[in-house]
Amino acid sequence: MLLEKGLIYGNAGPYSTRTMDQLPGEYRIVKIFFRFFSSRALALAVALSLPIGCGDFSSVRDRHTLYIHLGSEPGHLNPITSTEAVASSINQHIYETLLDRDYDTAELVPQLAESWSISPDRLRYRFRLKKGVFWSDGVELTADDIIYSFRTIKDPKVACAPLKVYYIDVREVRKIDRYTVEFLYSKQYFRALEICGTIPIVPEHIFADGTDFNTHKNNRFPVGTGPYRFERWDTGKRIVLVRNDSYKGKAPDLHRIVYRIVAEPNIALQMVKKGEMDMMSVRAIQWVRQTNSDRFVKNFYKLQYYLPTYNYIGWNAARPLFADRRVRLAMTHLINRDAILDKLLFGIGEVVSGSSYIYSKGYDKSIKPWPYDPERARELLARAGWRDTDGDGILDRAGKKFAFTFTIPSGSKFAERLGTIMKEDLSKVGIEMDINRYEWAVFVQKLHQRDFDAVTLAWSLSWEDDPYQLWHSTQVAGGSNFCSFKNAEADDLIIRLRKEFDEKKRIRMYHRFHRILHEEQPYTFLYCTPAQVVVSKRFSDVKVHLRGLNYLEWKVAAIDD
Amino acid sequence: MIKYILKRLLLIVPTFIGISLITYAMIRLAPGDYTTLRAGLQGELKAGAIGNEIIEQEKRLYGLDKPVIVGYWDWFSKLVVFDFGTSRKDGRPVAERIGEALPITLALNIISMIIVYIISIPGGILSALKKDSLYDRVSSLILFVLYSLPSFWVGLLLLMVLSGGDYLNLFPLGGIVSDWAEDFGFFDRMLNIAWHLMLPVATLTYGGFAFLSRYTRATMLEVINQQYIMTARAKGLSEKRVVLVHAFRNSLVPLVTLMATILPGLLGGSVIVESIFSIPGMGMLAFEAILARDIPVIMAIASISAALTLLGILIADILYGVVDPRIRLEAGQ
Amino acid sequence: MIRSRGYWAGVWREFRRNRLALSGLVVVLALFVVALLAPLLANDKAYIYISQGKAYFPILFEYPELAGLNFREESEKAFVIMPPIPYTSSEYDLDAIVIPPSARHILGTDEQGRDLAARMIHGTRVSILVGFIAVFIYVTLGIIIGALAGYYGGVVDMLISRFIEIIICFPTFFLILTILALVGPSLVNVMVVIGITGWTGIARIVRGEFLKVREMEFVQASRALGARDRSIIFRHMLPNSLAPVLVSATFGIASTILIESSLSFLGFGVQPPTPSWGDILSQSRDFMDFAWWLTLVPGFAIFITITAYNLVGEGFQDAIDPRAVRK
Repeated sequence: MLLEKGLIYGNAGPYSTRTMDQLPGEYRIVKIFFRFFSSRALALAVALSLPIGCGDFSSVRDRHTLYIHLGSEPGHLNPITSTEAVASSINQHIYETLLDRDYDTAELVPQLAESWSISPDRLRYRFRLKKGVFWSDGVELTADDIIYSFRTIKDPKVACAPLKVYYIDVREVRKIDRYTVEFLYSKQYFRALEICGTIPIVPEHIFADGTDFNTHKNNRFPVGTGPYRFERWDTGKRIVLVRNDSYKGKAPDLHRIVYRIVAEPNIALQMVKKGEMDMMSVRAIQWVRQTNSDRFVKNFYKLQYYLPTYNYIGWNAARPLFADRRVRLAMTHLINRDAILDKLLFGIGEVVSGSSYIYSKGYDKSIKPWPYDPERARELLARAGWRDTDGDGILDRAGKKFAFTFTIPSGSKFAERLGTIMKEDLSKVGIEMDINRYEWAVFVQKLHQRDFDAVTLAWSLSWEDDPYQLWHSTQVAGGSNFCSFKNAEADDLIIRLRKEFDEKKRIRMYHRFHRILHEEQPYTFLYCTPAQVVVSKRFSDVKVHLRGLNYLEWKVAAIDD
Repeated sequence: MIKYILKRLLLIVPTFIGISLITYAMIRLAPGDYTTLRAGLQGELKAGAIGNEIIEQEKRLYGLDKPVIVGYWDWFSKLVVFDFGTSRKDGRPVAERIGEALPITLALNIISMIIVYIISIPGGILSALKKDSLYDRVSSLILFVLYSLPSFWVGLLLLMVLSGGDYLNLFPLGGIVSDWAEDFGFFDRMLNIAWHLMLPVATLTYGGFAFLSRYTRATMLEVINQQYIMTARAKGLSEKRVVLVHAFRNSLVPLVTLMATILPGLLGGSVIVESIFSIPGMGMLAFEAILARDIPVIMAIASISAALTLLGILIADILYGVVDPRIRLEAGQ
Repeated sequence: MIRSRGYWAGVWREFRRNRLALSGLVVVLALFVVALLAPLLANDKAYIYISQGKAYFPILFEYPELAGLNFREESEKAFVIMPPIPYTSSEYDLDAIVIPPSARHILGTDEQGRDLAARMIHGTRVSILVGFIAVFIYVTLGIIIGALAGYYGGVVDMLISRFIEIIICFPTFFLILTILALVGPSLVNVMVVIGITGWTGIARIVRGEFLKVREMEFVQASRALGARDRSIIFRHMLPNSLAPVLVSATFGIASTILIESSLSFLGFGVQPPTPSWGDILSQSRDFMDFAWWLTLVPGFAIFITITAYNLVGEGFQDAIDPRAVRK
């Protein structure tokens, strides 16, 4: 799957959030209240629960089923038209691609392809398919399915704009024979192999039936080649996958995967505690405060792993206020990133100083994040001409006050907390900041129209990062360079980097680019925070890989009471 | 009478068009649209110009490039043949999505309404009869306290405390029916559903008692002090008879009207209760559709509820005439 | 039939007899006082600060020489009288995150180490502002629209009634959500949106009352005397309809406060860091199972306030309705 620059705050659905929260405190009063209440309620409890026969959930369910929490419901499961992260997390078990990334090394390894070759001019990518791979309805997968998928992506009537942009430079996909395809690129690109190898593949015999692709009935009844096949979908409740018996690879030990849709994370955690779900991504607060009881630790693994993501505060350089590098740098010096990480996020995560994934080779570890330093910030602001000349406690320059709005998406509690802390801290050096919280659709619109002063967001990156979309000056007009970052040297580096196939040279360019970002501070880079997952100890062989968890290798633990 | 009803029905048409047009214009003019929302940030936009072109292409696909009035006409001409279009989110017909959510919301609301009526009306009558008594005061205080508790707070507390893993474990944590109840017989399945609905129904109803019983109390008081009740009392009829036959029957008038206006409310789910209890009902459907700018879904829900409200008002007016013959329909109000 | 000063005195007499309503009124007035005095009740600036023989009143005046001074820590060295809650509503302390009530923070702190008592006190202002301004807007709108319909009748009435019908066809809560999505949520917008969506009830009441009195003698008389429409409406007819409007407005304030807190729950409320009770409550969701003070304090404040307004409204209603009063 192409897991790309998506927005963390938003990609789990329009208003569900993956926030980072916290907290200490005491249980007292509620508990006391409960002790008093429970004696009375006991009789009622017995009366209610016995006749319905629903005492313990774990006693009634199939041990070979994995129950996973899903924070929001995908619209459908078509890998071409879907843009939702939840959909791709399900689809990775149903659909396969030509190449996959190794769980431990994140290198590209064959999946549907048996082998591949690249022409010397790096414009032609030829893949040889494994023979005898069948869709779960028994039809064989052939080169025609891949060509159909490619044409579908290119079809103007198919609503898959986010995917289309990856294939702009792919001129054609040719069928060499029943089991061989060749992708023709119109120009060299270092990520071409990945783009071709991870193209979503859908069965032609199912979708090419003359009905509209966007609303095809099989969008909600996927047919794939992967280790699991789709079984049922109870809207708003659950999606069930069952082991695909025609799958040629090693059969997983888990017979079924049930995704349960529960929007409210507190409720989901309670369900996990009651044994109604086996696995859930938890928030920092839940990780630190709500999953540490002896009973919980005895029954659940608590796993942490980093993925290529980071969050940041972006300063709109198109606004006069933040056009000055010194002002942006001063803002970074005014944000106490270490203390916020320590207290609001319980120290779980790393402060980052650049745009590459902190644990990748492209990230230059010798560049340390700018420290919290209000004095230096004041100095920088003064040099940029911002002084309090009229004695009203607010900085001004040429009769204009230093005031701006901080735009945040609603639903992100971390953004809210960050904003209120900034507001208070900035007011101490004479900067007026307002917080504007917008619902997701409006927030996105504001970004597109570049209608903001400062903004906070998170990016999730691919394993091999291409800085073009975020940082090249041509992307100011219509791309994702919201903050209007323009730097001639960076532009040149980015263009050269995209055509460089020698990894060592590319890394040197990444490092130089990292340095430019550090000096220019178009963003105040914040944190790379790990995913935090709790998994029931009903399963064994639960390992954390570079890419996270792999259910396929899990075993159902032997019964013990 | 029939002429009056026909006239009113005819009037519904322009009103309905007004409502749906306003709704449509509002969503179209709201910042953010479905395509930008989906395409804008999720993927990398390779080259600005090309990226924008692709987005424009997709907007045309959904008719978002057309002027509001043309877009409305497209929608309306389909509505006439009861085609609500397809949902942007999952590409299914809107009717199918509503068909899934509606029974859930209807069940929840009807149960809640019955409970509210059963408890509030006798409570309100009693309050009116014993005005200023200890009962009246205490019950009104309790009702106000209940009415004043924010439902999201109560809902979450109930769940944490009565169904959580930490305290009591009496109820399920949301949902409508247990996974394992699929193979249950009808009766057991119903029991299982009832068990799931208990907390949401409690959350939905507790606030409603106050309104309805206060309403009943007020109308009863009004009736009780009328001349004919005094007369009935003076005639020596038993108090029970006076209350039940004379007073209550007359206080029914506003209650019936109220019921008719509640009709469209039956369809509208509560976002708050549904999100807390993980119930895939109309409230969540509408809320998510608004956030995602899923125009066909929003329009379908808005027009159905508008049509029902208009019908509700009409029915209320007609019932008014049936229950209380003193009111002549032709005279308007 | 003209409701004179004597009428209102009578209403007040009736109202006073209702002890519940009276206690509601006391609570409402107390909230007003708290809102009015909020900056004096919760502030990080001292009332009086005496240092080196000089007396300062930092809470009232700005002293450049005292800028940046933490008065709480000065009490050792100098004579300081602090407000009862020596914190502002926005002052955070990352070392005191979500601590339970203690001597330092009498109601504990929230997830950013802000003093909950200070936030609650300043939040009173928000709830009163939202309640009163939103209700003021819709009462004004409702009176004007209702009066026009009721006074002129005929075609005007027909058009306005249809218009009211259109408006009530929108589910209010969703209408508010949609408009807030359009204009962006903020304190002002929340008030205005609740205001412009809530007037139909008032308009119907006023219209009904006007239809009742328009044929009465005193109205006919003033008309015969050549009084202008505006003067008849506002001088003669409106005072007669005011009582039920005020009752409805009182209940309206209660429900407005509830709506505001529900909007906050869904992320459509006031902008952070504005201390609104609803927002504090919805923030507490994540700590519900252990930070009881963050849940119970704002929850309790909201329901006490709403109960108070409702009791006042109820008492008021009983007091103005002479039929209901005399048994």
